[in-house]
Amino acid sequence: MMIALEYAIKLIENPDAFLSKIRYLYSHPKETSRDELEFRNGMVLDRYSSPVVDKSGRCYGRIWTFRDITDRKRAEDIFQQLSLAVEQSPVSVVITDPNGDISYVNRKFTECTGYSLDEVAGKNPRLLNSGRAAAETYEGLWKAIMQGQEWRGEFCNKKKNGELFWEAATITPIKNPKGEITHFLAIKEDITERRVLESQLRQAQKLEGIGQLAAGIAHEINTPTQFVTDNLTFLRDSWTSAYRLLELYRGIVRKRMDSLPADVVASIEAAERDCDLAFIATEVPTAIDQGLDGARRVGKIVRAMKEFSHPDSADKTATDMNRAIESTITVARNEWKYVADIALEFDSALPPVICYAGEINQVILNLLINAAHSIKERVKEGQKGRITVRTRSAGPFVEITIKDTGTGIPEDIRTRVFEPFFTTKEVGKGTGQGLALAHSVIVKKHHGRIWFETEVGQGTTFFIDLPTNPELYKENA
Amino acid sequence: MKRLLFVDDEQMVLSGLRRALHDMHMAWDMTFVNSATAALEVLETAEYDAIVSDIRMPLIDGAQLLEQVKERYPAVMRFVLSGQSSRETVLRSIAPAHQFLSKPCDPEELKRRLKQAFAMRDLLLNESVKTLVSRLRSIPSLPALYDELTAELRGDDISLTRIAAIISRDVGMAAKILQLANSAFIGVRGQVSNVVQAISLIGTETVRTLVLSVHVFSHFDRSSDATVWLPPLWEHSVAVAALAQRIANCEHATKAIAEESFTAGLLHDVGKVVLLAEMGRNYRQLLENKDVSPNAIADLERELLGCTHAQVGAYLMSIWGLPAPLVHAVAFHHQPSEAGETVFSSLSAVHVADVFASENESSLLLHDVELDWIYLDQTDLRSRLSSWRELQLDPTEVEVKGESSERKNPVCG
Repeated sequence: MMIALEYAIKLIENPDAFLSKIRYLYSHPKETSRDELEFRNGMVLDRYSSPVVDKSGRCYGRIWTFRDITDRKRAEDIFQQLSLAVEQSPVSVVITDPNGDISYVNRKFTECTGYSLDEVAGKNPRLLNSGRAAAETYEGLWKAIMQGQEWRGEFCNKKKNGELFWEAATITPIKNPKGEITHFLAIKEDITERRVLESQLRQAQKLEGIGQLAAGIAHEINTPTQFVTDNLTFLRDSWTSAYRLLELYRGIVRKRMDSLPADVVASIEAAERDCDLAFIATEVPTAIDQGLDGARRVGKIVRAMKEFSHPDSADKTATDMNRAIESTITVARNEWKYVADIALEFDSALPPVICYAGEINQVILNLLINAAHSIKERVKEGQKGRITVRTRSAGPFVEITIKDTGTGIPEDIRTRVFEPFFTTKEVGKGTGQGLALAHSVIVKKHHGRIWFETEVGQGTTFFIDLPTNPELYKENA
Repeated sequence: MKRLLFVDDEQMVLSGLRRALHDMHMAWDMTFVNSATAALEVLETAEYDAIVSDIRMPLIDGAQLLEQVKERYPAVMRFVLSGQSSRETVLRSIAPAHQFLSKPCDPEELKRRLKQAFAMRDLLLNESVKTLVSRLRSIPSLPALYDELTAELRGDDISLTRIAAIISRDVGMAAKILQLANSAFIGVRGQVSNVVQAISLIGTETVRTLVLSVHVFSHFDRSSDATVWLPPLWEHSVAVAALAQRIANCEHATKAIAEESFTAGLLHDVGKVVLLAEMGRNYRQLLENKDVSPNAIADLERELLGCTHAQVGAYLMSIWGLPAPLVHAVAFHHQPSEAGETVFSSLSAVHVADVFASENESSLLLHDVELDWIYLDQTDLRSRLSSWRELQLDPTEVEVKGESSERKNPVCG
């Protein structure tokens, strides 16, 4: 016994504790005890020791039982590890039964959606549905997983607080050894930020494309515009001096009419009638002026297109906001001209704003389009609403307001209009990025402010405050 | 009679210009050709005053043409009239051109720009000076300021405020940046007289490209004999700029006029900088004259060059397309009565600031001007002199190297 004990002691992980336990039990002969003994080689034994007592209560000694439980212990450890891994995983994990009712969600899921396990247990994951995904997506999903296949895809879901977010999900059926589906496992990752960046990048690329195209077309159009302008200017000046000369001749002829032969007089009178000199005299200068005006307008549109897309500048430049807004209104004319009139109330002494002009133009464009769409929903056929664009110098800021006579923003969504992906437009129509982008451009990139006032049925006014020098503003802030 | 050459590969543009500019035919002898090769042939046969060229043309493009014109016929004024708007092309053509105009350009605007340049050109009688000035790509900067600027532009965090503070202290950089900002490609309506506004219109990133890659600025050779002359001239220019701005403020001039006065003050002696750089020892010897009347400088310069430094500066500023009031102030800062104005302007501010800032100097480098009493009476400004004299500058305010201190505007009656 002692030899065996001595040998065993050497193998035990914590021999002192074991030895003191033995001593204790022999000095307390009536006690029963059980514990686990860990060996250095990883083996775990279940130790049980009980006294041998007769009917009168006399102790004869002890029986020690050792049972090898190494395998069971290992299995328990692995289980513990796995469940902690799932619970603390950096992605959302949802497990449902074959009906799709939730049986487990991990911590990340709760963090991300705001729902705890208690709140969602037994419920269908449909409760996250934002209503913004096509029905086919869900059909495809169920079809795949019911056939035992894995499904991957992206959803736009809704959090407990109503906020929308995008997730990339992998849903896998889990089968028992008989091949029957016992659970579904969904692993989901929040990709909202990535989606926002992607969509902004797409926007920027689109703008860059327009910019390059505009620059190329500008050259092609500017050349003919130059000679149209030159020729019309020449015609105008020549007409003025030629007409002056003609009047001189006419005066002389009229005075001398009597002394001219009758047939000459007749042919002069006939020719004057034929060419309707009075009409020509007033219409030719007008025609030329309108031609010049048209050429100027073409020039203005080309310039507006170029300025709007700002292809040259990835750089902050001093920008005349009045002019930038005018360019944007010119390029967006098709969006508003059928539903609204635009009134400009520009502060002519507006200081230049140092900004990323292309991005600010995009913000103005988004606000204009929203205003036009909102008016379109409200006005009846044949009537027009009004968009008022005002600029004002306000201390270190330039204030831009865009006011529409549209539907206004309903109270329940007012707090959400700047959220990414939030849109009131039909699925597939709006990206839900317009105002989110506006917010990020104005607030994050330019240290400005953007807010709105709205009344349902009356219209909405968006306000933008841009610091004229964001650099200084940042330093002073 | 001025001789002008128009070059464009589009025949219709040439015909249009020929007609629209027809009313100038009594003053201008105009030739129209449709290729760079033809332009170079024509230039062989007669002496031209100006060339107006398109950029995008087959075989030899406008930028190459103007580069060759600059080498072979440096006295010819070089204008670009282009429908091209790609930044790269524009930047490349800025180097050999004096002015960049974009299509569509109103014929009246084209005439105005050409006339302004011709007007100042007529003041320069000496052909060799005309050539010297027209050939200049840039006006050399003070080496210390050039280094300060390039160090700032090589940094990661470029600050508009710091760049502006450096450029506003250098005659050469300020003039060049105004030339660029007044080029039509930047797309401003109206003209730019303010250096800070010019930099912010161009954008700091573009300024970086222009300075570090296109090399639009240059600097005096560090070992040149001229270097000892430069710091006093720079300090004087900055002092005149600051004082002129104060005088304008004191007269309750508009902010635009006050800023224009600052720039005009900074640039008033730009002709001297050019002559120091280009004429070498002869001109320095002239400036070393002591104990002569300040007014002697005009006679001495005419004797040496056939014109004055004011005319040289004004001609350069005018062919670079700087706003007319700046050109005027540079041209007439010694004898403003010759400008024929009767009201207060940036010219008044610069003239008086120049006199006040140089009174205690001894050499003609700085002390080269006296009050033009005829002008002060014409403009009724004689009585204002005593108030202006009180606008003394603190010496630290005209520090050229190191951070410029903020300019205070004292209250005055």
